[in-house]
Amino acid sequence: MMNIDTGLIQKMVDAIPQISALGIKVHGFGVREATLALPYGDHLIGFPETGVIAGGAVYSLMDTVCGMAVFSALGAYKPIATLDLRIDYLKPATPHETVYGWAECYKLTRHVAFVRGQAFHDDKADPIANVSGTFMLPDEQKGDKP
Amino acid sequence: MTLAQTLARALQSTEFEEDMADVPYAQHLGLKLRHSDNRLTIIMPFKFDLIGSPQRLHGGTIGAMLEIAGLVEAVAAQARQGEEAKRFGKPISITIDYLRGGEMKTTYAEAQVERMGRRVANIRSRAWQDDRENPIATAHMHVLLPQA
Repeated sequence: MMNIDTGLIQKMVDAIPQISALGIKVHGFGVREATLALPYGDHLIGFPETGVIAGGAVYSLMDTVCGMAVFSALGAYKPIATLDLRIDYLKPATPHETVYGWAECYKLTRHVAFVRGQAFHDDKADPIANVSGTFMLPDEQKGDKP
Repeated sequence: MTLAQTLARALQSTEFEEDMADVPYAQHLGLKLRHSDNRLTIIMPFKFDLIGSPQRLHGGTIGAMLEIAGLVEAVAAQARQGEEAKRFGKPISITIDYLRGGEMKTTYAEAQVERMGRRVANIRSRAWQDDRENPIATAHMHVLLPQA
């Protein structure tokens, strides 16, 4: 089991400009999985008439948490690159509510990590979005670049 | 002013380029809307806040641009068919393929409607930096069109 200092991970996350600008916070970190929180903010609004946040903000949350799930599976922060990522929008996010993003890296091969996850408010069984993605791992033969 | 109104102004003009000031998230990304040569382009000038990893744009910013380009193009395509869309469609799903890392420079995105159905549109988009023919990312999405 991982003995992870989430405070340390939060510092690493805060150092990444877009992640910090979005306001993403580390919520949990486990074996091959991670959870991030995206607190509601006016800067995230995609629909000013209703206050609903933009799909792109949820997508960014999920891209980030999927990457973190891969780091968890690798046991290290390594240079990985998203290969593809699919998001299915199941319902609009509720204005003024935090969006949580959870992801797990369910398969690691030599070159590719496979990840799936959900975005939700209070109930993982009633998700806002579902994601599925693949990440390229560093090419060990060529050094540390994917 | 709403984005739909800004888009209508853009489509009526032969040369148009403005910040997408109506939508806070678009402002967060620093997006501009351009209409030129009958083409709609979303432009994302580089700024430090867009970085997601060393010297690379965050993949989410590129995904967001591609989605916005698709939603905007769906409205434009309906307008060209003579159906004035006052609201945007809703994305059902979008898949982004990342082809190259996004470097610390301006990114452009354009979309094209593959099929405009009555309820759903299938749209492809591409994002590039130096060369439109060498995209850094592509996407396909399904959009649920506004129903009367």
